Amino acid sequence: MLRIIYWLIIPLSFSYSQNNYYHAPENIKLFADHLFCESDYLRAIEEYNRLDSSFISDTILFKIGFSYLQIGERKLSDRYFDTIDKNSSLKSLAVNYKSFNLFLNQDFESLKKNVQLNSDLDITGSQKLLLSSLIIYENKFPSNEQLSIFDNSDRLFINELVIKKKYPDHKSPTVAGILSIIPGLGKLYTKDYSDGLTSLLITGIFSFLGYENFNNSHQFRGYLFSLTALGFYLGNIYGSIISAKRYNQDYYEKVYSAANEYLKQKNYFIQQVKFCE
Amino acid sequence: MNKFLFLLLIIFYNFIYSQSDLIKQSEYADSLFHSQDYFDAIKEYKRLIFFDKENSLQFYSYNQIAKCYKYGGKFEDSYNYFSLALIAAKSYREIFDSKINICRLNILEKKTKNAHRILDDLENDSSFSEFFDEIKYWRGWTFYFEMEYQKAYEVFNELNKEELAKITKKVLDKTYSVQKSKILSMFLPGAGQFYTGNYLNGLGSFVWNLLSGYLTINAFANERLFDGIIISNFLWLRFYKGNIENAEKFAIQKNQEIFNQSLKLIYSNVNEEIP
Repeated sequence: MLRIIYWLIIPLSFSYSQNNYYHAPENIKLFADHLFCESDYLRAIEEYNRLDSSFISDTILFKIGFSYLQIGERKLSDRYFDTIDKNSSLKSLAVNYKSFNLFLNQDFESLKKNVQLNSDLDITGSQKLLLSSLIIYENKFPSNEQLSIFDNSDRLFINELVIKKKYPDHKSPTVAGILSIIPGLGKLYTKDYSDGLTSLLITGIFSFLGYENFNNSHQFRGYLFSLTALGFYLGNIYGSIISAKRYNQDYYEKVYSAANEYLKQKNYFIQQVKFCE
Repeated sequence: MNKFLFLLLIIFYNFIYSQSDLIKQSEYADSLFHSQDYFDAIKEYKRLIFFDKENSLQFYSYNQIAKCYKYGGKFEDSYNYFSLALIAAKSYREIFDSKINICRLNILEKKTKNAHRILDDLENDSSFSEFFDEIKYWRGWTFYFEMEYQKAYEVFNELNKEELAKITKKVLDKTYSVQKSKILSMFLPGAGQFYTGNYLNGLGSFVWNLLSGYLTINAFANERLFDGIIISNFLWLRFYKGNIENAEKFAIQKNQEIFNQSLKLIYSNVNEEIP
């Protein structure tokens, strides 16, 4: 028995002394996985890249791609997602993450291509993301058949989004400008009530002061107040046009941010990565 | 018997070898740290922690990682790792060092209230009574970063830190009083700016105030009440208020410059620990 242990230990210690324990390939992988799970992605990538090709698997390629995605290197991330074997169980997840990258880049043409190219895989997440982005950014509305990939709660959100995009609460800058002929009315139209009232009061007060001063033969003050009133009047028209534009911008920003918030909450319809449990 | 002895020798050799590997790894991380390659140094210290199953170098590694982050300007991460070092600390000295390191970060970030709170806690804890002078020393630095130079000077002087006390005294003498600068400008527009050495700005301020003041008084003297109110409101008061604000701004700016220069001097000439 002792002899067996003896002969086992000698080669083991010999091989051990030949390698630095901390930098042996299997330990590099272990440590890289640890860094990955600690969300120290940049260092994890460095460690994965130190591994010999014999150690590289689809899981490692996916982890490198995912790490690049986390540090905002989307092109490099895509490159790694693309190298994953078509038959790998991680391929559909990689395609979904690539779609997410393309969504973040707002490259919807490539997103469409990515979905079409991989239609044989289970990429429901990518398809949902594509349909949502078409509605949000390109005002293209899906058919009922296309909507069937969404579950009930998501469909509710999509329907609401479609209504908001099809029938936007829009204010016309031209109408606002014309209404402003009566000071403040344009701003009431754009629901900027306090500004509307201020416009009416200031223009009214300065016009009245100008009129009164001309009546009392104070020519200089008459001109001063009348010009000020004119300035406020023109400002009121310009301000109403701007107010209508801002109203529309705010409306779309609210729609975009609500949609993005929903997508974020849903992790962009992409399955969560579970390597660190 | 001989075989048995030989086997023991090999086992012992393996144990020694694993220890020497640990030391080698630690030395490698240290060499990266000393060559200021903080990114890689952090990685190697993390590796050390990950493989050091007996946690013999855990405190040291966390501390070093925190220092790397600190020197790289990543204070938030540095706080986190000094806190981890505090958890891993095994002696009073290590606990004290971790707390002082956190305090030093607070001083550096001018979060002096936090720094004082940490020092108060250490001062009130009898376990750290032997480190009283060190606590006092960092208190001095907290005062220094608060620009309370008189208090800082007193502390450094008491601790016989002669070089530091000398520089602090010099800074104290050079520093401008913000209050004084504002009050001077209240009584004579531009005087506060002159006090802080901004002569052109002071002269400009004086001239604008003189001119707008003259226009205002002239309007009132000629019973042009409306003109007087408009000129005083929109012209004179604006210049007057701006003059006081400017005087305050210049004094603060100058004091900051003096503070920065003094720190440079301390960093290059004084052989003491700094925050």
